[in-house]
Amino acid sequence: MINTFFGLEIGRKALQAQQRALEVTAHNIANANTEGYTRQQAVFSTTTPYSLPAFNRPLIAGQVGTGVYIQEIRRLRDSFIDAQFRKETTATGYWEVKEDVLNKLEAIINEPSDVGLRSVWDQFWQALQDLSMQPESGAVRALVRQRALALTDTFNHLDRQLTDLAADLDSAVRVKIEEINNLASQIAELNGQIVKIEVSGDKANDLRDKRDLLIDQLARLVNVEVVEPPDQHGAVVISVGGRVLVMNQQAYALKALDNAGNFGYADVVWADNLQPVFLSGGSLKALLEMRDGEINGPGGFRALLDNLAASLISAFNTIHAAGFGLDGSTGNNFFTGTDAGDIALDPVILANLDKIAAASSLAGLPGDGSNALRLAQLKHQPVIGGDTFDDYMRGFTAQLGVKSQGAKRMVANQELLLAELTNRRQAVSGVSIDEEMTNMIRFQHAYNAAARLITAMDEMLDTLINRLGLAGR
Amino acid sequence: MRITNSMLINNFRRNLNVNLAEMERLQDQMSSGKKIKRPSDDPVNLVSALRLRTTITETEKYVANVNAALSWLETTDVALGQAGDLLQRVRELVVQGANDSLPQTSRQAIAAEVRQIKEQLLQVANTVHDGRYIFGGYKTLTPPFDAAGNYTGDGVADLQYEIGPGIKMTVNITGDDVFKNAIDVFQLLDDIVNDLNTANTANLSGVRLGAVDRAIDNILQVRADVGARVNRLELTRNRLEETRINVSDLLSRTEDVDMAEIITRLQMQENVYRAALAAGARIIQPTLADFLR
Repeated sequence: MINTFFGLEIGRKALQAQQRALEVTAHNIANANTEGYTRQQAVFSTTTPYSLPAFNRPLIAGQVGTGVYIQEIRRLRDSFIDAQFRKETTATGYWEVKEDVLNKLEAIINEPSDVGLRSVWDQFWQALQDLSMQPESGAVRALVRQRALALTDTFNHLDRQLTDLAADLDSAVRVKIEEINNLASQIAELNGQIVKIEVSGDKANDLRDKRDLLIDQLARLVNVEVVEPPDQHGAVVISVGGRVLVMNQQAYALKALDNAGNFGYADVVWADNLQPVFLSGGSLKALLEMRDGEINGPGGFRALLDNLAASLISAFNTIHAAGFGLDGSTGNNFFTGTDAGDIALDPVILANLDKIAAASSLAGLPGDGSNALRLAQLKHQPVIGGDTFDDYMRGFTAQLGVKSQGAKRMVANQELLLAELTNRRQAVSGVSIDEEMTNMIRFQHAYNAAARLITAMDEMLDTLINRLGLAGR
Repeated sequence: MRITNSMLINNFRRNLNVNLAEMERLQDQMSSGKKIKRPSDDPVNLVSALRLRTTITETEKYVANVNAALSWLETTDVALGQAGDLLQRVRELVVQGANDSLPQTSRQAIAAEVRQIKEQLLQVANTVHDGRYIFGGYKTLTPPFDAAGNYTGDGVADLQYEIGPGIKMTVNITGDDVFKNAIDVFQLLDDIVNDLNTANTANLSGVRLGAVDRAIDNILQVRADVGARVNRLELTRNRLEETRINVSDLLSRTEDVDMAEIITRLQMQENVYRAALAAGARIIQPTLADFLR
């Protein structure tokens, strides 16, 4: 037989369930603007029905519903979109760093302008032209020396700026490694908390949100693979380049290993065995590529600049040494050094203007400026692999421009892609205020109705208890 | 597809940002007047812009070189003109002195004038331009002729100025070519003085007069050469000026913005921006909460 108070019990369950659902709605509304929050949904389910042998069907038991309960509070999230989002975040992190550094390189090269290397070189050429016309003039010789100093200073300055930029990138690499380690240990800790909750069958929704957000942040720094093995009670395994970074509650740290063969810059290795980390994306890889490739690598910006300086030094000195200074001396170099970093005016020239060899022969002194003219004419001669100095400078400026333009385009594309994925993620996981308001009304009505039901039951019982048994009184 | 509030807000914010970025770019172009501010703005046109800038610098320098050459040659021309005038005077004096009926005292007076003319001619031969002796070849700092009229400069020496990439122009003429070519002018003047003093009228009207004529002829030839060089330099200067103007124009077209176009585009962009703001104001504000009672 069914208990007399059975109806009251159903009402109580309904009240409780609707209230829980309303609380979930409240949680959703409260976290509508929380970063990384995933909307939650109370999943209603009927409680186990009660088998009741019926009067009209004595042999087979019929079923009577026993009410409602909240089966779970579900987190609405699409792990496929998450994987895509992280992949694109990794690419975005990579291109953002590239764009940023290329931008800085563009600022260093400073073209088009009237103060860049090209302008200084043009002014030096003008001074040489003057020297070819007035080789006996001390004032013109002083001008040549000043313009040459401006040229070597510009080379040195560019070289120093590149060194500074590479050093900045190196410290950024070290900071990123710290960030990765920090994120990895936080994720490992969350793994532990989540397992503790989920091993007993509950859902650690909000902790999972926190962990997913951390993984998103990690994905911007390095290429990550995220797996949630089904037997791990909610713990994720994160690997980087084929090696495990986080497993259960254990995080494996990365380390910045100083490489003496590379200006003491940091190599990225695993802390435990010092093996290199295989990176295929993310801002960390971009930092390394820019530091060791675009700036310091073969074909990098410094190599181009060094090549220019070296060609200038050797071509210039060959011609200059063949000429004669005002004092009849010959065989003097004009520049010293071997690259952009150490190109300088020869101390002999620096000390004595008469050593600048403008004349082609001893007999031609002092009026012969043909050697100075030959120096000036270097400007139009193919001295670097078939290019003139001008071609070469324009060449690497344009090359930088093309690279930077490409990186800008990639960043714009990636931003669009990420925005699209964010939207798709939001479509599944985002809180819709309108939806929550609707739910709120829905649950409120259901709660009211359940309360009304209890009132009805109460009145029935009142009839049964207080009004019966008065017959014949 | 579910549309959530944050999607609306994110999209709105992103689009607004894109609009603002475009406005910023256009405003920057408008206020700076330049299309290319950094290499990545337009790498292809950047290469032309850099080449044109260098070409302008070079052309301006070549114009300056041409002007320097012209001023040198003009000084040369003036000197040659003076030398020609002086020799012309010598010719008149020789004709006068060759007159048999002239008293010897007059011939001596003429001889004194010829001596003066020699001094003047020596000064002309040692003409200085901008601190340099123009007739001395490479020996620009020492007088090419000594007091006796002996040449101490370079015999063969070309002072060459570059007036275009690889194009050189010799600006100087050596004193040898002017005063010692076939006739040694200073020796000739000494001989004339001698003949005047010794009343050798036959010599004066014969050999000396012929020699003076050849000397005058030589100077005229040299002047013609100088004139030809000046002509060539002036042609070059005109061409260079034209190049400079054309290249500046090209550079302006490569680098500079078209104001009318930019203003129009900025106006359009502003309209888009306002529309985006208006749309945002409509989308973001209302929720169901505004309508529930």
